[in-house]
Amino acid sequence: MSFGYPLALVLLAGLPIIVWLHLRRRRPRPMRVPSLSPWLSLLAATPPRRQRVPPTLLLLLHLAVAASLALAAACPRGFGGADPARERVLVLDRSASMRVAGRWSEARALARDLLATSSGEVGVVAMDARPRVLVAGDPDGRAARAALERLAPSIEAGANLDQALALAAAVARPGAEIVVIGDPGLGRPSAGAPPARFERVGSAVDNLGLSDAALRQAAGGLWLFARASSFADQAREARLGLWVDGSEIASRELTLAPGESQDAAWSLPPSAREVTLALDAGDAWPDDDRRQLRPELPGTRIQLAGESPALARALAALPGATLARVGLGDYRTDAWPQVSVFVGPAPLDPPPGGLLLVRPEPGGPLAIAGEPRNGRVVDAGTGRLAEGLDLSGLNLVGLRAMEAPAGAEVLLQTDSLPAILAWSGPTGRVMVMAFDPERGGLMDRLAFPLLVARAVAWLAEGGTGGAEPSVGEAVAMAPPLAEQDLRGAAEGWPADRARPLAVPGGRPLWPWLAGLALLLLMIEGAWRAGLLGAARRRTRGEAMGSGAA
Amino acid sequence: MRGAESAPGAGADLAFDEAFLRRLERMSLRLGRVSQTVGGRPGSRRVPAADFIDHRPYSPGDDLRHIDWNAAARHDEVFVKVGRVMQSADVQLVLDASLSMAVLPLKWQRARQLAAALGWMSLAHGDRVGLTVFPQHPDDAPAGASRGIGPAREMLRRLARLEPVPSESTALTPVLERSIRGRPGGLVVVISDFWLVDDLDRALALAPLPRWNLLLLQVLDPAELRPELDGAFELIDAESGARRSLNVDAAMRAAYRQALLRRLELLGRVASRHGASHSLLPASWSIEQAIIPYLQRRAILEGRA
Repeated sequence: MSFGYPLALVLLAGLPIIVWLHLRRRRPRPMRVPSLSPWLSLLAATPPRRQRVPPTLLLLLHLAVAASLALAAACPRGFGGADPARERVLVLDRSASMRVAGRWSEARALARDLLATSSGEVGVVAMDARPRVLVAGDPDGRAARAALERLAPSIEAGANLDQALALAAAVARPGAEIVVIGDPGLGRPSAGAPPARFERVGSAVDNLGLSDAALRQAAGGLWLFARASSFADQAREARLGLWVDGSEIASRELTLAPGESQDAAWSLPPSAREVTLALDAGDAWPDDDRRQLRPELPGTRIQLAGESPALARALAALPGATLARVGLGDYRTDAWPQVSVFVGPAPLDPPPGGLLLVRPEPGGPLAIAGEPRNGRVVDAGTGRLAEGLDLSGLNLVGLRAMEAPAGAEVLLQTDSLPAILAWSGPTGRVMVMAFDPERGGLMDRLAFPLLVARAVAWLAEGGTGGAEPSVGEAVAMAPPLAEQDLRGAAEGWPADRARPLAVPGGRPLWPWLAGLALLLLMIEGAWRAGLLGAARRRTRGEAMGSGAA
Repeated sequence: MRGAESAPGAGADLAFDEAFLRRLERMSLRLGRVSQTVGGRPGSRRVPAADFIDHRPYSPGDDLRHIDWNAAARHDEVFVKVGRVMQSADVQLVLDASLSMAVLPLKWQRARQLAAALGWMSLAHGDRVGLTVFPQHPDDAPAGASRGIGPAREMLRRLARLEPVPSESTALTPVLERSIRGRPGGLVVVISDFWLVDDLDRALALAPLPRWNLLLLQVLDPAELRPELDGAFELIDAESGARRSLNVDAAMRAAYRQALLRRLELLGRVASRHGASHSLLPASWSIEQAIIPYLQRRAILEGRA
C-alpha cells in the first residue's frame, strides 16, 4: 500500500474531532424519577470515572466515513501492479510533465512499492532528455530508495525513452525486470528497445500549451515563431501575450478547437535580450503556458586568469562559451576575448572587452584598501544581475573596501561593504566582485553560476566583439534562466509530451474508498429514517417509567 | 357488600367493575384484634348463641333459649350453646400521595386501586375504615372512621379523583399519629413507595403489637425495580426537583439493583422489628389477578374470591 498524496493522511487527525463532537452531543436527557436517593447512594459509592465514548453505531459509521474519505484523499494504491520478489531496474520519468500536480508523488510512491517488493539487486534510471543511471546493482535497495528521495522532476521537457531503456538494460542483470514509470504522455519505445513494463501515473488533464517557440534571424531582423496547441476535449480560448525585456509589446486572442494548433510570428526589436511568451490558458498544467527565450550569444570568448575552480566551472558551463585558461602574466590583450576574468591581482594593462575582476588585491589599478572582512548580503538590488536570485543571508568572505569610480553602480551590498560594483570604462564594461567566491558558501548556491552567467552576458554586451546571431543560426529557447540547469538548453516541447492521454496509472483504491464512504452515508441515512419512524411511534413521556415500560 | 346493595359505577374511575366488587366483598383483611363494637366479623368472645360453635356449662342468668337440651339429656350437667360475637375492626388506610407516587402513572393508579380494594372489603364486613392521605391533602377529611355502603362509595370516588400533593416532607410519624389517636387498636395499612419515609422506625413504634397490626404495602413501578436507562441522563427528583447528571450503563444499573435490594432488606428488617408485615407489590401486577391472590397467599387476606 502506498499513497499518492501522503499529506492527505493528516485528515485522519479529524477522527478525534468526530469523537469529541459525539461526546458533546451526549447531552444528558432530563428524566423525572420518583426519588434521587437510590441514585445518590450510587454516585457516592462509585468513584468518578472518565466519560467513556459509547461505541454507538452512529459514531462508528461517522468514523468509518471520515477514515474512508481521508484515505481516499491520500490516493492509496494497491500492490496489484507489482510482481513480488524480482530484480528490477526502475526507469523513472522526471521530465517536466511529471510536475503536473500529483504525478510525481504518485510515481515515487509506486517506485517505493516496487523497490519494497523487489528482491536481489535493484537499479534506478532517471529519465529526462538526458537519462542517467542513479543507482545500479544495489543489493538491499537502500541506495535506490535514497536516490529516489533525492530525485525531483525536472523543468526540462522531453524524455529520451530509448536511451533510458538502453541504460536500464545495460545495468540490469539477466532476468531482471525493467519498469518504466511515467505519465500518460510518455511515448512508445522504438522497435528493438529492451522489453519493459510500463506503469502510468496521473490522469489526463485539460491542457493548452505552447508546443513550439523559436527565435530566428530572418529578413534583416529577429523573428519569433510560436505554436499554441490544444490538448483539451473542447474548444478553448486563450490569450497569447508577448513580452520583450519585461514589457508587453503584443498579444493575440486564440480560439483553439480540440487538437488544433495555431502558429504566430512576431518581428522583434534587434536589441531584444529576453523574450517571454505567456499563454493565459488557466489550465491544469501551467508549466507549458509560458516560455522564455533568449537569443544565444554565440561564441562568447572568455579568458580566465588566476585560480578559482568554482569560477572556472561556472564559466565553462555557460552555453556556447569558449573558455581559455591563462596565467596572470600571459593573458591575451588582443581582440579575441570578449570577456576577461581576473582572479586576484587586477591587470595594470587590461585587455579590451568586458572585464570581470574577482577578489581584487591592493596594488593594482583599483583603489583597494583595508583588511579583508566578512559581510552579510543585505541588498541584492533590483538590477538584472541579482534579480530573482536567492542571496538572502549569504555571508561573503574576503571583502575589501574599494573606492568606486564615478558612475559605478552597486549591484550587491552587504552590511559592511559593497560586494559587486559595475561601471562602463573606456575599454569596455567593468565589474568587480570584491570578495572571495571560493569561500563563504556562495559557490554552493545555484545563484552563483547564474550570477556569473548574467555578469558575463552584461560584460559581453558592452564588449568590442560580440557577434550577433547570424541568419538561420539555431537559437536556444529555454525556461527562465533562474530555473534551469545552465547546461540544460531546452530542445523544445514535443507535442506528444503535453498531449493528455486518458490512461490512469496504477490501481488506485480511492474510488473504492469513496464508494465505501458513500455507502456508509446511505446506511446512516436509512438508519436515521428508521429512527425517525420509531420516534414517531414512541409514546410520550420524559418520565422514567414511560421510557422503560 | 354484605347485605348492601350494589354500587353501580362506584369504582369506574379505578377500573373496578361490579364483579370485582362482589369478589372483594367475599374477602376480608385478616386481623388479630377486633373492637368491641358489633360488626360483621366473628370475634373471639363466646356468648350464648343459636349458631353455636361450642358448649359451656350453664351459668345462672344465661338465656334459657340457648340451653342444649339434648346434651343435657346425655350428661349430668346442663350445657349452653355458645357462639362468636360478630364484631367490627378498626382499619386505618394510610396512602402516600406524594409526587414520587404520581410521577409514574401506573404506580399511582395501582396504589389507589389497592387502597380502594382494601377499604371496600373492610367496609363490606362492617369494619370501621379511615383513609388518611399524606402529605396533608387540601381536601383531606379528618381521619375519622366510616362504616357502610355510603362511605364506601364516597371513598371510591375520593380515591378516583385524588391528586398527588407536592410537599417538602413525607414524614410518616405525624400522619400515623393522627390516624390512630384515640383508637382502641386494629389494623394500620400503609401504602407507599417508601422512598422518603426516613422516620419509619419511629412511626411504626407508635402502633405497637398487639394493639395494632401493621401492614406495609410497598408499591414500586417496574422502572424502579429494574430501570432500563442507558446513557447520559439528568435525573430530576419528583419531590424536590433536585437534579443530578450521571451516565447509566450496565454496571450502574446492576449497582442500582443491589442498592434497591439492600433498601428492601432494610425496610423488611424495620417492619419485622415492629411486628409489621411488609409486602412488595410491583405496579405492573394486576390488582385483580395478581395482587389480591398474592395477598391471599400471604394470609393477609382471608376468604374466597
